[in-house]
Amino acid sequence: MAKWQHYLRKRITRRFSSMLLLSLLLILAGAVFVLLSTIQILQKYELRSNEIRTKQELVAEIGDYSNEIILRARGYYVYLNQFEYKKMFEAKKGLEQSIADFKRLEFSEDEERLIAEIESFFTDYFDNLLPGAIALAEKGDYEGLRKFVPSGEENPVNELMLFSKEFEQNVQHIAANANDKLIRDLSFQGVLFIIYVCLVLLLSLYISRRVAIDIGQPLGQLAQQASQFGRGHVIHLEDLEREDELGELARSFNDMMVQIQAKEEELLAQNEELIAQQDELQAQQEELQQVVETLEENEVYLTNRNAFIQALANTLDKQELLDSIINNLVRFSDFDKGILVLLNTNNDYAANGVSAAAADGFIHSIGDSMVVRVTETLEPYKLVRDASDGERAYHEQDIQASDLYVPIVNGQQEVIAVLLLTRIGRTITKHEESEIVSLARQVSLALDKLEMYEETARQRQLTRDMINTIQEGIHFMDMQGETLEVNDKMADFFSFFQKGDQRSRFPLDKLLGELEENVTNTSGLTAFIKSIVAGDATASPSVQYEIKQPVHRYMQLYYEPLYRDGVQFGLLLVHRDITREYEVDRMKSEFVSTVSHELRTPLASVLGFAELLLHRELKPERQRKYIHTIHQEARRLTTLINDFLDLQRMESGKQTYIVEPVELTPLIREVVEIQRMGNEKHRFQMHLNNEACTVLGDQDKLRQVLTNLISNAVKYSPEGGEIGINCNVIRGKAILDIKDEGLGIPEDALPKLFNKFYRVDNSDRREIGGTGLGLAIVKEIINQHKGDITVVSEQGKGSTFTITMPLHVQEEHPADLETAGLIRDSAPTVMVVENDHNLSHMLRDELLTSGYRVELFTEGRHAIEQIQQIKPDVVVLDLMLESGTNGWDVIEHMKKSDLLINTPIIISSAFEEKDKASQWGIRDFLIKPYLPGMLSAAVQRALSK
Amino acid sequence: MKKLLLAEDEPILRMLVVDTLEDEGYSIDEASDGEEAYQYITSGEYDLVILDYMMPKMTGIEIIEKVRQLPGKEQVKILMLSAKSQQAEQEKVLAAGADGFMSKPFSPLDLIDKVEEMLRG
Repeated sequence: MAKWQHYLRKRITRRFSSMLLLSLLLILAGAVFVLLSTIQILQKYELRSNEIRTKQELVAEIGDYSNEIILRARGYYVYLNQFEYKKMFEAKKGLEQSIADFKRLEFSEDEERLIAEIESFFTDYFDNLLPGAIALAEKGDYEGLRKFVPSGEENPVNELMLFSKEFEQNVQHIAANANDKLIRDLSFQGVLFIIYVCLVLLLSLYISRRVAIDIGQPLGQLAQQASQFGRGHVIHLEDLEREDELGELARSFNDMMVQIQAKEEELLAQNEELIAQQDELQAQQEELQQVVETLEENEVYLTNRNAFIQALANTLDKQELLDSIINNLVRFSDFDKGILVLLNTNNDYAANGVSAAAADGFIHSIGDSMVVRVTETLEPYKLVRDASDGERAYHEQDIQASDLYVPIVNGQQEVIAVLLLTRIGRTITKHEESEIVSLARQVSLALDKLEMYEETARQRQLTRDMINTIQEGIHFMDMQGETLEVNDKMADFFSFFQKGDQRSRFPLDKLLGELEENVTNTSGLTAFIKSIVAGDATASPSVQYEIKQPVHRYMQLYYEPLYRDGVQFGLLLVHRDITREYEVDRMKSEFVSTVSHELRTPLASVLGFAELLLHRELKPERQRKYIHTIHQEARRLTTLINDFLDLQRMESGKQTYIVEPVELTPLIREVVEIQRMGNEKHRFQMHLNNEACTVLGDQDKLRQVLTNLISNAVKYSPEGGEIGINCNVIRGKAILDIKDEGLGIPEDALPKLFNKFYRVDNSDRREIGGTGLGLAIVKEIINQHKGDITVVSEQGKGSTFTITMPLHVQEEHPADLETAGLIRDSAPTVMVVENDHNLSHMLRDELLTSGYRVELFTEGRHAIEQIQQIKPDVVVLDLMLESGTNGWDVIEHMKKSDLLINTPIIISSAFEEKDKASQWGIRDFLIKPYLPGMLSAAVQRALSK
Repeated sequence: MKKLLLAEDEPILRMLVVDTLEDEGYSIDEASDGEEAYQYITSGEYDLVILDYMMPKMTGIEIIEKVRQLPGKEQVKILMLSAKSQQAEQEKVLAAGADGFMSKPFSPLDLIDKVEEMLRG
């Protein structure tokens, strides 16, 4: 018993399945039982039915056979057919069979009786009736037959019939009864079955209830306990002893619970730990928070400082830098106002929140302020004081203000600037102070840098100015021949370079291309440049070339390689304008060739004729002629050489002139006399000023001039005519005219007339001969005598040469001029308006020496007042005069006056305002400084117009 | 008689050349400037033309160039007188088309020889 119980207890499934099995078995058993019983019933019924049916059939058969017998018998009676007879006996057999079969069955009493009756009937029938009937029939005694048969037959047959019927009915009853029974049985079975099933169900219910209780309850309990446990109550489990799954579950659950509890305790412990840690973390976080705040503050500070330093780094403009420093300092360091002053000669400063007047005041009083202390100690100094009225604004109570003086010290420990920052109403902390000091270091660096930059810029500008002033073209190329820098002079030489600092780089081929355009025959130049770029040695250290545009120049180019640390980094090309020298050279060589040509010609004739004289027999006239020619040409040669040497000497400045007063009138007469000698063709007419016409100069040279001019007049009027010599004195000048009625000078020759060796290009003049040097010499001498020579001529009519020279005024003490009445009345009056005392006296002396009367004024106002009275012949005017009235005013005044409108004006000024002057019709301009002699010349010119 | 033309602007030198050569029996026409000389050449036939290098209106070289282009005158013999005596000058003159060259100052006897030589060859 225990074993299977144990077995079952172990597993719920087992129990459950066994229970199920049991129920199933029961149900099955029941079903089988029911089935079997039903089968049984049915079988019984079937049997019964069969029986009845068989009975019925048999009865029917009997009936049928009976009928047939009768029938056949009757048939035989009728027909006496063997067939009928056979049939009848068949039927009889059949009947007998049937009755035999019937008898095997169970039958009731009635049935038995019936059957016995039938049997007996038929036995009777066959034994008695039939043969009788047949005998009758065979006899054909139908009458007898009819009498015979019905009597004995009818009854049993009919009875049989009836019985059959009755039997049938019975049978049907029985069948019906059997049916009913069957139904009743089956129903009963059914009911039984239902009852059975109900019992089974009940059983199942009971079982399941048991199971439920057995399983469900403990489960429910466990569940409840679990949830209770879940809620935190402590529970005690039952069912731990059970052997089945629930027991296991309970045990596991218990274990789990135990573990959970254990874990819970652990967790609690951990939780406490965590809480403790959390507290710690909290504390740390707060610490971090503080740190972050501090960092943020620092960040702000650093950003500001950074911005400040950035601002320092960004500008190289002094004022901008100073402004940015003070503005940033004040703003970022939260001061209320401040000023930064450079301790240089300019005292450049920048201020924030300080008016210009206040700033100036501060700067002026720097030497007397706390700045002194700060420059001495090189330390910042803080001063706490009461706020000024302005600083207090509308506050009634007293407010304190703090001033912080900070020195800005450079690398050499010199104070280059001072910073003064003010805070009103709040203090300046030590921390802030040290902040400012560290910023001050930055400021000093920035200022140093600025200074350095300015210095560098100055140097650079100086170098640049120097290079741009040089009259040579400086041209710097890199090793590839690309032009990196050119100076301004190069831009003058070549229009494809621009002046100014921004010059575009010029690759070598572009340069060569441009040169191709601007230089004649560039092959030599190009080859030279290419070889120096390539680093090849050149045939000569320099090359010459010719610029054709914009201005024609002869140029010389030489070059030097540039080295840095022993490595060549570029080429320096120097372009020199040698046009002058070239011209001079050219002129010299032209001159030399002309001279040699000029010399050869007379020499050729001398040699030629001499040779002819030597090698030929000639007639005496011929001989004389030749000798004369030789003599003449030799003389010509001599004159030529002498003239040439004279001219050279004069031009080179080595000619010495004896300066003494020379009376022109007698000199003229002397020269005319000589020229007149042997001259029949010409008439000499002299109109000389009988007053002494005295000039200051070299008598011999003047004689030479006169001789040249008068002999020219003679030579160039080969037909003869009048030669007029006039000498006049006009306004302190000696004017000398020499007029001839000769060939005249063509207009195109006039400008070149006084050039060396120039001779008019006409054959008839060539015949006249001459060196071509005469007029050049004359001009040179006259110029040295501060004079001028001009010519007027009409070709074919004659020429007039005019010499003007300043007269020599024989005065010894110019200072006494105004008082000593030695001034000639006819001397013109010059009004000088000049406010520079030294210059005015110098000009006055000069003009007096030149023989003029001078009226001197230092103020325009006075000049204007007296000008009408004085009526000067010439006015020399300085434009810049002091105190209101300037030169222009004087001019205006003069131009408004009818009397003075035509008076010549000479402007003596430091500025060139020719445009403005020419508007007034003034063309005489002397730009200071100028030689006083030039003023005399200008006055002379003005007067002679 | 051989006909010669002399173009020379210096009258004295003209006289020298003319005297020298006339005495040798040549007939000489005188021109005192380049233009005149050119006129003479084009309008006349000369056995030899003596040209001065430097002349007003037209230089000797210019005359040669022009003459050498005239049909019929290409072959005219030309003797150039020049004050320049260098080899280069001589070559230049001969290259321009002159047939002979003589530098000044010259010896009249040399001139006679030169003229003869040129008339011969």
